[in-house]
Amino acid sequence: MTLQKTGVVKSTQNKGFRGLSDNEGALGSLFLLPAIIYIVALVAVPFFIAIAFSFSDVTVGNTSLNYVGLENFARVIKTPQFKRALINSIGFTFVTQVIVIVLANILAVILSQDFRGKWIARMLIILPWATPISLGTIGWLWLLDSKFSPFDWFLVKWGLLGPDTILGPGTHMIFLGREWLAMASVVTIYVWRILPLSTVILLAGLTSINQDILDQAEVDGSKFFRTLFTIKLPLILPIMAVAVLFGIIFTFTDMTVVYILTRGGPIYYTQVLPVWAYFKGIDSGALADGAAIALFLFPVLLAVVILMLRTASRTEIN
Amino acid sequence: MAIIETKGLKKYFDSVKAVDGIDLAINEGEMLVILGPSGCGKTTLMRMIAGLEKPTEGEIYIDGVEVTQLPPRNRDISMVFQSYALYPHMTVYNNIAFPLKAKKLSKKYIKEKVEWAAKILGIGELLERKPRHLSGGERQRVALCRAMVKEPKILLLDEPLSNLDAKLRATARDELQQFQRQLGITTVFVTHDQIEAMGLGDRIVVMNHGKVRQIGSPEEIYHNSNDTFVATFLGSPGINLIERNNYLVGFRPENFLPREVVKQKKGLNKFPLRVSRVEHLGADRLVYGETDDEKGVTKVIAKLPSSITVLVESGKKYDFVVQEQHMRYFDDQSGIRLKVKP
Amino acid sequence: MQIIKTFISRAMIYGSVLLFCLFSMMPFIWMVVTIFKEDKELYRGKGNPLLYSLPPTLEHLKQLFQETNFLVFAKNSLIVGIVVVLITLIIAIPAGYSLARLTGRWGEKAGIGIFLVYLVPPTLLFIPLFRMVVALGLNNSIWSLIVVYPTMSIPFSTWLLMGFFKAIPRDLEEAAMVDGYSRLVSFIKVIMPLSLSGIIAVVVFTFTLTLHEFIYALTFISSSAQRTLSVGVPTELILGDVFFWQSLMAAAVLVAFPVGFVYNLFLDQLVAGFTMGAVKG
Repeated sequence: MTLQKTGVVKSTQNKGFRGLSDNEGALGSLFLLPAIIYIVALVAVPFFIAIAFSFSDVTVGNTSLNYVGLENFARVIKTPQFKRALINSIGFTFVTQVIVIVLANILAVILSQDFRGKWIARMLIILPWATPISLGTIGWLWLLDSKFSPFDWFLVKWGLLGPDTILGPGTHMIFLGREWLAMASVVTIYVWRILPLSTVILLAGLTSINQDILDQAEVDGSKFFRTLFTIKLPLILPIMAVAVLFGIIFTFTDMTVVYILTRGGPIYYTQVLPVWAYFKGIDSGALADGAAIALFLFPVLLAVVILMLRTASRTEIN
Repeated sequence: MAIIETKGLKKYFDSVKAVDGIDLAINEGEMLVILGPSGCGKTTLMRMIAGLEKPTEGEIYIDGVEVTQLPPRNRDISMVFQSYALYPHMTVYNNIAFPLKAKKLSKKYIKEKVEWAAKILGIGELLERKPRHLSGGERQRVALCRAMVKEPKILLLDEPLSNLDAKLRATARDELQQFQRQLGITTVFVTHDQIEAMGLGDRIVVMNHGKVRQIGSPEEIYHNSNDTFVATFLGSPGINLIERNNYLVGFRPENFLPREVVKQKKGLNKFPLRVSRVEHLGADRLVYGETDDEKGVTKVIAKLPSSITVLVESGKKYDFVVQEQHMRYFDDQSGIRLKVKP
Repeated sequence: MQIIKTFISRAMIYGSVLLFCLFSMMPFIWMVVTIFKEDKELYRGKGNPLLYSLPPTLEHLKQLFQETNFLVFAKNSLIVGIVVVLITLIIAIPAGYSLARLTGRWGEKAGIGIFLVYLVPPTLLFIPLFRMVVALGLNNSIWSLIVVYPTMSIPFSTWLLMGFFKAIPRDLEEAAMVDGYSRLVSFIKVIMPLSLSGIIAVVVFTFTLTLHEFIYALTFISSSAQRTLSVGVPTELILGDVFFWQSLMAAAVLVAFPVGFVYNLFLDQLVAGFTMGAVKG
């Protein structure tokens, strides 16, 4: 063979020719590095600072960190506000998700049908999610105003509100001034905001179902509701889980709605952990207390994230 | 002189030995076909020649220069992918001009070159279209045009006909061969289709499990297969193998004929055939059946051209024969061909 | 019979769609009605509140632009949005490509890891970040937001782009490499133009995210001239207990409607990101 004869001629350009722009490994790391540095510097570092704060006596005025152990947590837990904020945070999230998942399934099934004006309908329905949450909440604040709520006018007009009616003698509901009404208002806004997101996620799931399977079901004589409950919904179960988990995270960690709508009131009946952490940590300057309160969010988030990973790995297998 | 040489070329993906030690010398101007079942490592071998895959071990030489570590763009090669890989966002013109632009040639020169290449392949009309508006055959020509426009030393083709429908494939094969002869460009063609390989190749490399099983002209590998793998992989159906004490007997279905149609008297190997099924394929008849031999019953197939009109019916027993010159013998352990009858 | 059935199912679809739209649009309808009302009518509290008894006025819209910091907020939001979008693109495009093509199997795990960072909420980090921002001397400046917002946009954007890059056949960039380009140039010339819709989705996602963000903007900035829309509008247009409802609603509508429209255009791409690739378009 001629191998030996020609093989010895080595290219002089050979060295370093496969430079950086061709080296997959080096290019890969170089491309990923900025993102990782950014995330470590501004997510991982503050996260550990948050933990450090919660075990210290730091305040806005006093920058030195002295270790005080679990003192902050102990002090925070003892207050009645804490119990209420924790219950509210979990309760609001839970009730919101139950309502959202029911409504979102209905809405997604409707939107997966063909009808005229679907594009407009989808846009109107997505609007609450696309709107800055603070501005949406301001709209609700005005909608639920203690004196000028249009709901009051309609309720009075329909004979549901006012003297000698079921809803009482006054002519105003004062939605945000009564414990249960205020809580219901907060949940309503969460539902209003999360419903669009869950719906479009489920809708994407429904439209991604293989048409062959649906055709097969039709050939097998399955009608609309049978197909829906025995084929479509079970198939999009993992995606439903994703929608629920996103919903949980966005409700559980939100502070905007309560901050703008009720500021935790009346008294502290609608207080939630993030808002309380803000009031304590920033408004009153007790950084350590604020950090400790915010950290109570972490275990729930961790559980959600683990669930999410398991869902993701399950869909990968499919 | 060999224009491409590989020396002990290996590629392992984790524990999978995709290519397991290949020494190959490809001659200038020839059409070399690499043939093998899917997963035999033929595409990996080609991708290493192209520079898309780094060998785990071994060297590659192009025109006497070691290129093992060079990126594709410094190897003076072109490649047509199985999917054609036409850039969907560019017009046909820009697709073809793309390799020339990489060389930073003048616009005028690029235009002349693209038009010249497009003319050869008869796609002058298509230059302003986007790939998604082309038919399968047109896409294949554009891909070929893009590959040849920079006049590379070597053209690599990765199953470029497999996306065409059967009828188109035959004409495309013909065109491809004419085109290659016309330009005299060294071409490496990877396929799993033996008809393509037989029809196109000056030489064929048969691969299996990352190793070369045989290199030779189409006639050579078909009639003088090196081992049982090559013998059974080639031909449709493949060779009949009958086990005997410490060796294997092989004969091709088309050489397995009814006793009465063979005029010869001497040097015949007789095999009684119990016919189980007869398939009429138009030009041929396939006769499936069983034969008894030293080590029991073996399933065999005979392929009778339509010129042989002898009545063969299923369920009946006939005398079939093979002429001695068509008999092949293989080692029963290694499967390697034995040159003399044991 | 069939006709009646179809008619009933149509009516049910339209009826329920209308109901859901009404729920979604409720605050917005009330906002739009409010904007053009005279003070006298708005605070009189008699008659159907959705109707006008006095002629509509543009007075409060004018006030919004002339007497409030609305335009300053809008300008700040715009600057923050554009700069954060640029930072996000510069960091997330290479990172997404790296995870899709260059890092092999551990890249997949790193990808999920990066996605999970998106789930770390601002409410967990705003207190230490406030401290860091003060230490850097960035408090009371939109630069604090420009520095911090990419932590929220990069993870999701990287994930989204990774999906887009993965969907492009490898053959295309390999063909470009055979055609004479380096890996880097192949990526820029072939992959980037083909993932344009993904890149636009990232732009939309990032921009709306900066527009939505409330906690950091509230925490880091206290001077009116540096505020962004999401915090400026609900805090600065309220003086003590006095709400300028018409101007407030005008501001909300002027921001919400255009954002909603653009968001809807790229919804499918964004949803593909949210579902972590479980759904393919």
